Formats: sequence, C-alpha cells, structure tokens
Amino acid sequence: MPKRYTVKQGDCISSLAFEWGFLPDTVWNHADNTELRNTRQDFHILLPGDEVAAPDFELQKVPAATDERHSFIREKVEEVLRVAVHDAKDEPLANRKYTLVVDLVSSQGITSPDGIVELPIRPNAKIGKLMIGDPWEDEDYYEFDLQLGKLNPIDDVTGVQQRLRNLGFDCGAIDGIIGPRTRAAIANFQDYRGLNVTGELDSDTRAALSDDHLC
Amino acid sequence: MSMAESGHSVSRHLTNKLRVGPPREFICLIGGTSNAFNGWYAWASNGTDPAIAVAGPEPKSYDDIKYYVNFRLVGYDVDPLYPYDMMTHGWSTSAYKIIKAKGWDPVDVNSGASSTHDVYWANFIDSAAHLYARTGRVIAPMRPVEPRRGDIITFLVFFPPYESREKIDWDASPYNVIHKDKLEAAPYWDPVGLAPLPKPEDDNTHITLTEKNKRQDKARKERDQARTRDQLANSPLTEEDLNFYILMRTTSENRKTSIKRPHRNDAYRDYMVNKLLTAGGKDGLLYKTVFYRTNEQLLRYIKTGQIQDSYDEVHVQTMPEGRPPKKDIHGRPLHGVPAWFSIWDGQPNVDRKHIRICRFDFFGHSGFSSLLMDFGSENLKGEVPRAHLPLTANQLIEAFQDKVLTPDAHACLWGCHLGMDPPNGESFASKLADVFPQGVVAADSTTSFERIVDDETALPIPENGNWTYFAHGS
Repeated sequence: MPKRYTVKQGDCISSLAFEWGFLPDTVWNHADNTELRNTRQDFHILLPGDEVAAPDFELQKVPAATDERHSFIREKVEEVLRVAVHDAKDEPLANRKYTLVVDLVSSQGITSPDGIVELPIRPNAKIGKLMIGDPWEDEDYYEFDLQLGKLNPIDDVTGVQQRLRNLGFDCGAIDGIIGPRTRAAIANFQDYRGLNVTGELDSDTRAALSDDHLC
Repeated sequence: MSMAESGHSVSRHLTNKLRVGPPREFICLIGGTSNAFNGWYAWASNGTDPAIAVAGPEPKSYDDIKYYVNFRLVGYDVDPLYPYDMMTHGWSTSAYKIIKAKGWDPVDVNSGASSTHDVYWANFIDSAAHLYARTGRVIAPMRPVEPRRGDIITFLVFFPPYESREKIDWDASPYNVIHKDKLEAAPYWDPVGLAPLPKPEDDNTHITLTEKNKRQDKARKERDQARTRDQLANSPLTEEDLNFYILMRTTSENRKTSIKRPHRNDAYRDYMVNKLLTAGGKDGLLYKTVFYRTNEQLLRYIKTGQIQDSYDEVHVQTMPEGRPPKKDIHGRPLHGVPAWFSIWDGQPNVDRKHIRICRFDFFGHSGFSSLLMDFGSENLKGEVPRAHLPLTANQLIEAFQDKVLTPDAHACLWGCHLGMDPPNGESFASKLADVFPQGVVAADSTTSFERIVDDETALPIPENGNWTYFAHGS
C-alpha cells in the first residue's frame, strides 16, 4: 500500500524520489499519482499541500553464487540547475564569469551567450548563491540567493509573486495575498511588457509572466 | 499560506530567468530656507476682517532689537498720525501703512506675538533625512519610504537660499571673529576667568576668599558693562551686528540637535551633504544630493534624468553593498557584497527611459497653488516674508508626463496648504494627482516643522493633525 506524502515548500518529484530511493519517473508515473499528473504539468514544480504517493519497495531477487564477488550498479540520479541571467535592460549577461555555490559546494564557469548558467546538482539540494562577475573588479556585479525547488506553479498567487520577484518586480513578502505591493508589481510588469496596465492578475498577465520567466 | 522567504525561488531542471531591476528613482525635492533675521512679522486683526500679516519694526539700534523680535500689535492710545510714536510701542512703519490702508483704527488692532520662519535653517533638510532614514513615524495616509536594492535616492536641493543663509548666519555667528569683542560673544572668545582683571587693592591680603570672589565678580561686571556701553555707543550697528544680536536673542546652543550658531563659514554645506547622503544607509542603494539653481534644471532632471548646464555640486554615495571602492588605500581588494546595475550611466545623470520615478517628496515652503522654492531669502528687515520663486503644479505635471513615472508612483507633499482648495480652483495636490497613478498625499492646513529642531526622528505634521489623500484622477 503506497504511503501518501504531503508536499512541503522546496519539494519536487525528483527531490522526493531521490530521498525515497526511486527514480523520478517511478514516482511520477505511479498509478496513484494520476490526479497529481493531471493537476501539475511538470513534476519539477509542485505546490505545498499537493499529495504524492510514495511507491512501495519491491524486493528484487537476484541469484548469486557463494564465494564470488558481485557488483551491483545503482543508476545515478542527478538533477540540473538552469538559470538565465539578464540585466535591467533584459540583455543576457553573456560570457561572464560566475560562481555558483550549492549546498556549500562551489563551482566556477562562464555564462553562455544566452546568459545561461547550467550545472548538475543533487536532486535534493536546497539553497544556492549565484554570483556573476568579480565583486572587486566589475562595476556590474550581481548576486542572487537561490531557493532551489521552491518555485510554485504559475496558477497559484505565490508562484506569480515568485516570478515577479525573479524578474525584478518586488512585491514584498511571498504570502499568496494580492495586496498593494503585489498589485503595484503586477502593474509595473504589465507596463514593462506593454500590456494594459490594470494591476490585476488576469490571464494575459499570467501568460506573459510565464513566458518572460521561461517556466 | 505564509512563506516570508527571501531570495529567488527557482525550479530544478527547468530554465528560470533572473533579471536585475529595473531600478527606480525616489526624488526628494527640498525647497529653500528663508532669511530668519529679516522675516519677523505678526498677524494683525481688527476682529472682523480677515487677519493680515504686518512686519516687525525695522531695527536700527541695539534697543530696537527686542521690539523687533518680540513685538506685539496692540491698541495703544497713540496718535495715529505719528507713526514714529507707534514704533516706540512695537509698530513698524509698514504696519502703520497697512493698517491705515485697510481703514482700520490702530487703537482697535490686536495680534499674536511676532514670529519668523526657519529659525532653524535646516528644518527641511532634517525632515527629508528623517523620512529617508525611516526613523520618523509616518502617519497614514503618508507612506514610509521603501527602496530596494539597486534603487536611486536623489535629493534635489534648491541651493541659492541655503548659500545665502550660510553666509548671513556665519556673519552673525559668535564664532565669527568679527564679533569677538562683543559681550555676548565673550564666552566663545574670552572664557570667564582667563582675561586679566583689575589688580586687587594693596590692603586685600587679609580678605576672605568669598570677599575676593565678590570683588572679582564686581570688577568683571564693571569691565563688561563698560565694554558694552562703549561698543554700542561708539560703533553704528551694521547688518551683521543686528543679525548677531538677533541670533543671540532667538537661538540657544543648549538644544542639542540643531546647528544654530555656525562654527565655520561652510558648516551648512557640509551638514547638508552629510545629513542627506547618510540618510537611511540601506545597502545596495545609490544616494545623490544635487544642489541646483533654477527651476529649469529641476524640471529637466525630472523629465530626462540629465543635469546640464551649471549645477553647483553633486554628491554621490553608494551604501556598502552598492558600488564600493574596489581597493583600499594599500591597493588591496576590499571585501564587500556589491550588486549594481549597468544601466546607471554615470554621475549624476540617469537614463530616464529605463529609470523611472516611483516616489516624489517635497519639503519646503508652499502656498495654495505652488511650491515656493525661495521664500523670504531676499527680504529686507521691516518686510513681510514673500515668495520669490514659485513652482506651479502645471510645471511639474508637464515634467512628469511621457512615462517618467512608474505605474505605482505616488507623491507625498509635506509643505503647508498644498491640499487646500484655493478660492478660485482646485488644490495643488489634487492637480498633481492627475499624473501620479497611486495618488498624492498633502496637508489641508499649515504644516508644523517645529518638532524637527529637538527630535532626531521627527517628521513635520499638519497642524490640524490629518494628512489628506488625493486619489489618481480625483
């Protein structure tokens, strides 16, 4: 009988599967997760409160001779972090030195011509810090504190607020409430994208936000 | 669901876009201070007609000053045909003329005590600093200032009145050597006990210490009185002298937060720059203080972000996380966590296409229909203070057009009367609300800056206690 698990902030199928010892597809495609699959388009973006069925372990029997050495290979499960970094003019920060620290492990590299930073991470990594440029030499140095796996679906207000913040439109606390600051951020985004400036979260705004944020 | 998290939430595996900014600009406009020495006046009334302002009697001598700064128009039993007779009772010639022109009987006229504007020269500067430091309690619907990393805070100071006030106050200051020999300046230049006193008489070797002190005190008093008599009798009072005595009579150095008697000839300039640039001290912000000279410069900056022609001084500071110096004095890299944006195209200009204004504050003198950038700085003694450089709502509205403001921009006007409807039109704030999407807050009464003098956190408050909100398009 599969156990039911209630999703917390920062969980996604790949992080849960990693912690439970499964492959992500095993969990996602489990028959008891059909409703979840219908609700969420992508298993990397869940909403706290979602229910996930954790499959039961199936004991696999393997014949093995005594007095011999046997090797078993476990499929490596690795996740990737992919971030496109843009400046205030929406130009990609291309070919810039970056440092990415994820769960205290530091990596250096150069951003792609599209301003993309892409690095493999552990599926259950929680926090990161991305620094673009040299803080001592570059006048345009940027840094971002990353909360990995915490992006909520766009159809939830918190997901809208998170995307607005990522795109440089501060809406205060991510609290799921469309208050004055969130409304102002929505208005600023609408103005930035050339939409009708109403401050209201309509379907066009949501679509434009999802499009601008790339997910 | 409550998730008061900081930082950027991103998904694993999918591509997430992170964008910096766009930065916003907060503009705080600070009007000029008046000439507090020349602006003494009182409100006079005959009990039926609206009150009128009448100036204090222009002082000529030391004795005149106490009437000048503390005169009160009351119904004296004097012959109205002899203004000089009235002046001895605290009337000015101009007051006499005004009263006569109004057709009032001077005997029936009454008024409150005399006063002047801006005894504390930096009341507008301090108010702005308190607001942006967020130390002052903001009464709704006034809003606190909430900049975020990368934002620009620009203080635009109309400089000529401050420049002139700095000189006038320094010329009147007891720290200025030109007043060294005046009795009131003695504590600054000749601390009691250090100056040579008359020698004691030969037979005082056996007197008690108390008696000796009494004799010394008496000698000191006689010496000072002689100096004062000589000084006042022998030298005519110049403008600097008059201002010196007014300053000493109307200010105190016991009030800790105010610079009332400047120590140096450039004390005010330094004070303004330091006070404004360090306001708030929030990381990742760019602070600019711009001393400008004409309304055209101001309006051009609002409209285009460019300061052109000759501006006096521009002071720029970023807070530690903004744009720190790259190296220390030994050439070693400085530690810091800077985050800045490439869009800022140099000092002091900004690119208005990308950096829009999200908030506009005004501190200064104002009337029903205009901001008074210069109020009373050019008055003469014996004149009622008046405005010299108004800035109208229409001028500002024209400058704020064409996508200069963010969609959530609002204005907070901290000056007097700006929310009041004049007899023949709508209020300044109401007009300005046509261009500010989130409206304008202003006072529908006079505004009191008195508390600024002694309170390091205070903000001006309307005298009727309420700020009024004017919604966009109201």
